Amino acid sequence: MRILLADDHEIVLEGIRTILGRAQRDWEICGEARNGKEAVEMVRALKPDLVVLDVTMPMMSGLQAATQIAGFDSRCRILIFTMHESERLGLEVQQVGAHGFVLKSQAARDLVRAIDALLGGETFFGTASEVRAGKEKPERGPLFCQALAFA
Amino acid sequence: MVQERDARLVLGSFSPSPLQRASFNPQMIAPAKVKPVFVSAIALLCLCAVASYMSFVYFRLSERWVAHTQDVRVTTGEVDAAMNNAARERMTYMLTGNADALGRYHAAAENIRDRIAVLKTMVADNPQQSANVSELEQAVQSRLQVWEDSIARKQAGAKIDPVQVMTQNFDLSRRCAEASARVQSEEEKLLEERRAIAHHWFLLSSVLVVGSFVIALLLLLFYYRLLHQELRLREAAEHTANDAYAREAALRQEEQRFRLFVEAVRDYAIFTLDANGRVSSWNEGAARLKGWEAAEIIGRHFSCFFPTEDVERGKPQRELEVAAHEGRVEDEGWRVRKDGSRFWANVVITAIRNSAGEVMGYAKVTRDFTDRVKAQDDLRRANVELLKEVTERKVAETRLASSEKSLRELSRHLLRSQDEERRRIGRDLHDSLGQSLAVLKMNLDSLQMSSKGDGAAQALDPCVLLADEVLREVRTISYLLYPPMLEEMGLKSAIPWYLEGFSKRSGIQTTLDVAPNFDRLLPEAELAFFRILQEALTNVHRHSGSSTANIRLAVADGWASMEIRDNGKGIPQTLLEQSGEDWMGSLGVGLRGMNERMRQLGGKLEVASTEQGTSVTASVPAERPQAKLERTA
Repeated sequence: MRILLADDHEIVLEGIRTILGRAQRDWEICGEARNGKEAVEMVRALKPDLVVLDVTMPMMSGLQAATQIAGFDSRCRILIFTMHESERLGLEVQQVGAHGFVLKSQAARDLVRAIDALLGGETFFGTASEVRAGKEKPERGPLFCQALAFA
Repeated sequence: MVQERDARLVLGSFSPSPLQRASFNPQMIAPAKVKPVFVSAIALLCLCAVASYMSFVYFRLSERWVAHTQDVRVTTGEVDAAMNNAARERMTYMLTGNADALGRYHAAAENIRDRIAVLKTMVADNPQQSANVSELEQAVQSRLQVWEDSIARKQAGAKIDPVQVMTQNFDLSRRCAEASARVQSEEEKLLEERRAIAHHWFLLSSVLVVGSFVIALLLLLFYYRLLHQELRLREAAEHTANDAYAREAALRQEEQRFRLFVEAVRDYAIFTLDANGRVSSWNEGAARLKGWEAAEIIGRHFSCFFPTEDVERGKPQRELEVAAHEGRVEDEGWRVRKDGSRFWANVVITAIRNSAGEVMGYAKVTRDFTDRVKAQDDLRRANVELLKEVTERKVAETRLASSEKSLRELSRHLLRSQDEERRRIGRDLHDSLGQSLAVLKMNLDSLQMSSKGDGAAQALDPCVLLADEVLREVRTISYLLYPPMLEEMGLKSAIPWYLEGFSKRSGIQTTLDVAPNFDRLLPEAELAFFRILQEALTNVHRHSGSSTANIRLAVADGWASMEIRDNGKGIPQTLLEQSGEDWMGSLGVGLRGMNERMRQLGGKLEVASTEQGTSVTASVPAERPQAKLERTA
């Protein structure tokens, strides 16, 4: 299976490569894009089975790229790989035509599972435990937020 | 009197009432018309009297003529009777020779002569009658001669034949009778003629009397009517004259009052000058204003009120000339009091003309304007100062405006650099620190998974947790500093993401209502809306005490708007009222910042607050971004 990676941070790409390398699957990283636009062009050129898209990228965001890719290549599975942790993320990912998302913070645990699921024709929108764990995380007090918001 | 009245009229407004002259137009009857009527009436009456007298005279004359005729006839009759008597006595004598008879005959003969003499006297005025009487006398003389002859013969003793005696003078007897008859008939004829004349005259004078009397009566009647008419006119004229007199008296009284009023006026010097400019009247105000008493000034030339230089320039005379020519002259300038002090006077000189239009004198009204001039000077000075102040203020305003402009510029710059700064810090946190932490976490997780069950794995647990927490915090901080979703997904995604976190942190329930046609805005507008949302929600959390906050995004009439509404206690009314136009100033830096953001985008910020809650609405012109795909993420 050929997988395309898209992230503007080298360190993240390296991390993904490590995790995928350790997974012992029949996966080939066919290319690495540094922004959304590049990702779209590479998908068009390389026709990977799956593309891992970071959301926050220069030139074009991962979500926009996903929309375009879903528009011309229905066969390519799209996995959103993001730092953004939000209850709405799943909804938005579905809206742009992606098939799943993985939080960067849970990459070690979820990335391989998610790729497995997507390549198996399923979707992956996080796990219940992880969502709950995210909710249970203690939030900063209002004073702290305000200090940040209005500094 | 007439002149004074005219003077009042010239003074115009001082005239107490419009003068009403008595329209005295007597329609008298000219004496020349009356006199002839009266004189002719009198003349006619005189004529009447004369005619009456003449009539009377003629009547008397006529009577005399009748009496005269009777006398003639009686005398003629007497002559006849005496003749008969003499004839009878002669006969008796002749026949008897009686001496008595002879005596009676002589007496009768004498009587005859006597009567004839009388008769001659009576008809002496009428030649015809005189001739007739003379004939009668001749006949009588002839008969008497015959008789005397026969008597003489008897006496001589001649024989007397009675028949001869009887027939002897038959002719003579007839002649006598005829003459007598002629006299009588002639007299009758004369009487008739005279009667006719008398009657004629009587008729004439009667007609004259009656006619002239009637005419005189008519004339007198006419005269009476004329007199009556004249009397009536005279009465009417008298009445009119009385009225005119009464009006005159009222006018006099009015004038008297007016004079007293003028004299009593204290604030105005009102006085009159004669045609040469000498003071002729003086009032209380003049005495007060100029210092001269009436007795001192009347008769003096009014140039003594002018400063010497004006007199030298001939100003007083010039003013009089202008007044005489134009009717009036007004002047303001310095005048001199008796004590030599000066005052600023307003002077009006009005020419007084008589009914023929000749200048009789001048009325002069002078007011002391010194205070007014002083006040005007003060006012002018105050105006100058005010103008100076206004200019200064304008300069200050300009300066203020420019400093405000630079302040706005500064605040815009500050806001922009703040945004830039936050965005940079947020990005840095997210991109370098966040990504590194994410990879660190990845590696830790991998390590933990690969070393399951041994002691190292247990030691890794807190590391993983710590990394997770640090990653989460960095992410939160970076998102609050700059919402990454905003640029990628727009407000529709960024706001729910933010509200999620806000509700978690504050416990305030939020709802979001996005109009279906609400699309992406310019990046600056989206950022501004997002910042305003952050600020407004912070205020809701901090001040309102509201448990909910409702956010609505809408597009209408070319404006994109965002409304944040809470159901809290609202902004205190006093705070809203005192702020007025500059309400932002009273509501702290946050709202001012919101307002400034809107202002820079050509939008507006409205705050409405009641005790039931507050609503903050931000609006900007809805401009669609040109190429949203081209923007950098």
